Amino acid sequence: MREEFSKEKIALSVKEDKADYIKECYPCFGWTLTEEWADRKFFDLRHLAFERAWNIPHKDRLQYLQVRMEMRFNRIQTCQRKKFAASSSLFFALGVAGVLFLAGGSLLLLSSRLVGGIVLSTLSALSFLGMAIGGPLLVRRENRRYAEQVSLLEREIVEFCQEGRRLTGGEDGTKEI
Amino acid sequence: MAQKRYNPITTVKIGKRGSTIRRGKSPQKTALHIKTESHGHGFLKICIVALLVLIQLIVLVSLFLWLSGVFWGYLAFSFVASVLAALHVLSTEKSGHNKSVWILFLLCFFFCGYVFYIFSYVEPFYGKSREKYEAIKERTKQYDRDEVPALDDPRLRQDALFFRTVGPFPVWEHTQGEYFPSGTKLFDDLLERIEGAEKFIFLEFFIVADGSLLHNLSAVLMEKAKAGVDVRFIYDDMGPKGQFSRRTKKMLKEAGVKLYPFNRLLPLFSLSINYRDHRKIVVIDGKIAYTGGVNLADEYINAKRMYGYWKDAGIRIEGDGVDEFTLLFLRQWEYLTDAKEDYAPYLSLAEKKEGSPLIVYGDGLDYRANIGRSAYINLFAKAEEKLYLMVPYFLPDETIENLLIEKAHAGVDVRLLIPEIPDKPFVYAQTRNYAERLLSHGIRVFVMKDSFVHAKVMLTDYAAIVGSVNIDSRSFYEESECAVYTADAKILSEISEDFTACFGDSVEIKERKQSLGERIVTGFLRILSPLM
Repeated sequence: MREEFSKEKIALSVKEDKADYIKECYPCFGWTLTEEWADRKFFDLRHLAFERAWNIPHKDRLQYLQVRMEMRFNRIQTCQRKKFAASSSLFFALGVAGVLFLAGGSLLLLSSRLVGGIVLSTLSALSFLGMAIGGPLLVRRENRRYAEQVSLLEREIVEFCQEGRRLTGGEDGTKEI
Repeated sequence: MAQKRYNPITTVKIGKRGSTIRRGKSPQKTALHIKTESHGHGFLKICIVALLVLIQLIVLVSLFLWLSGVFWGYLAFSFVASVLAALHVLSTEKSGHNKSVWILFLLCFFFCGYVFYIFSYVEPFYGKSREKYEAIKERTKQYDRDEVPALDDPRLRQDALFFRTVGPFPVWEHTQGEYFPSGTKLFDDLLERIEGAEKFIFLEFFIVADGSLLHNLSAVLMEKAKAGVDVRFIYDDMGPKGQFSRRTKKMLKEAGVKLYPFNRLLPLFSLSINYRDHRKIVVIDGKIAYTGGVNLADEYINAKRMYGYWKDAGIRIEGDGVDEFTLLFLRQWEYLTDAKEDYAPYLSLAEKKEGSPLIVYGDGLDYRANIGRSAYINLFAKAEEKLYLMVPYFLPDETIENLLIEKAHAGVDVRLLIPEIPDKPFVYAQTRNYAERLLSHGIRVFVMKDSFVHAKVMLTDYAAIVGSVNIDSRSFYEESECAVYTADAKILSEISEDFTACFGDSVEIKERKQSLGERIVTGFLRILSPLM
């Protein structure tokens, strides 16, 4: 293979909070870090460049493990982004409903429509109560669910990296990353 | 002094003393992003073409509806035309399912259905193309070989006779092969071997896209072309979707590489727009040839992420069998360029190698029979112990579906490997639907984790096929294809190892009860599947 093709290269832009972890993972698949720099425009991005020999043994298997690892990192990011999506939506919806019911109820009461006013005011109170009770419950549930998912994904990352290390003849394959 | 509150907009001192830039939060949603992707303007081209086609369709349908409203006679005429079209559908060799869908469409949309049928039906508009191919084959028939050697295995003998009849595609006995279980391995090998090219390099691909792979290969091709090597490159004009940039094409042409698109894509409702060149062929000096599922783009070597891990496969052959790929390419080249040349300098250049029976075959308008489909049917029908299929799209007609079921009932170990991550959601939904229907018959279906399986590999206990042919009506009826049929024990063993490794990385899907919604959607998609 000619010299200019003898090294494979890969360049990544990674989230700053995961950059150090990712930097440790890629060498498990035979990559060597060649460059690293902070993004000039965005504070939460770092750029990493790696290279490895084109004819590394077990290349197919290493590629498969590496891609699966990358997918797990991106899924963790998605989990973190969507963690409170359901509770936030519920909170917002109930809050808006509560305000609207309160406004409507007040107007009806002021115009001496007692029944309607009381009904809407009650609905408003129930909405706010739902926010107060349901919101935290949902937050706790989401926390627990995403924590489990993230924990599983992180375990899989470690497994892929350990297998990668075994294939590349790295250090003790059972060492945690 | 009050402590500064955290501000996500931080400032960084750069450049001249005192000059700063404000850094914000990035829009990147993923934790990591591979930066080797290149972005062509293919999306824009597709949008323009799609918009123009849509406008023309709207004009056509509006015209028909207006005609129907104004002229009662037209309604009567269109009804009769649609009935005649339906009768014609019944007389064709399409599968029963395909015929039912067309007849339903023609009778429901009788005011314009017959026109769509005429536009979609291959024969009337490909007649001239077929004649041209026939003329080319007639002119070059002295290069065809049709001898069938003495073969001990009666199954191989039957297959050999089949290929001789439909081609003729001869059996090559002095050809060696090597199976590659990934695009990465195939292109690594190709980049090494292509350095030794001295006379000619022929390439034919469905998808060609700018990226690191094309950049590296182009560097070699340009060097070789400048050194006097005859470098010819056929690419499908629809495959790349605009990602084979004009700049790259210009560079290649200026270096002396002869580039030709297959079935140029114009923003008009072209009658032959549906017919594409799906072949993947590389021939080096008439001594080495490659084929498989791989195209010339970074996702095929996993340098670009599209649908998880891209699982592909291919094969390299060395020996006299390479001549068949050379012939397929040169005939396609003559069809496109009208250049009538003597093929002799490009043939019989390879050394004879120790090998086992191997057949190289093609499919397309240059052949009357649906060779890709029939080759699979012949192979599946003779499986006695195992029958493994690795495909991205599994939309079999009744013949193939029933054959697989009967094989499973007869105790053959039938397994199907499909992707977990789809590239086309509707087609994937149908693939899963067809695959899951086989579960109750004892066929095992595996879904490769975190992967898009793009390989087209069929393995039985006595032979295998590796090539470009999917199990869907596009590959069988509307595309030029190619493949290698082999009974070489070494290659069969390599393919078997690949399947075993993939099954290990897969989840086996089990029978499950579909919800009502799923049944409705998959039933509707099943009706449309002959058109996918």
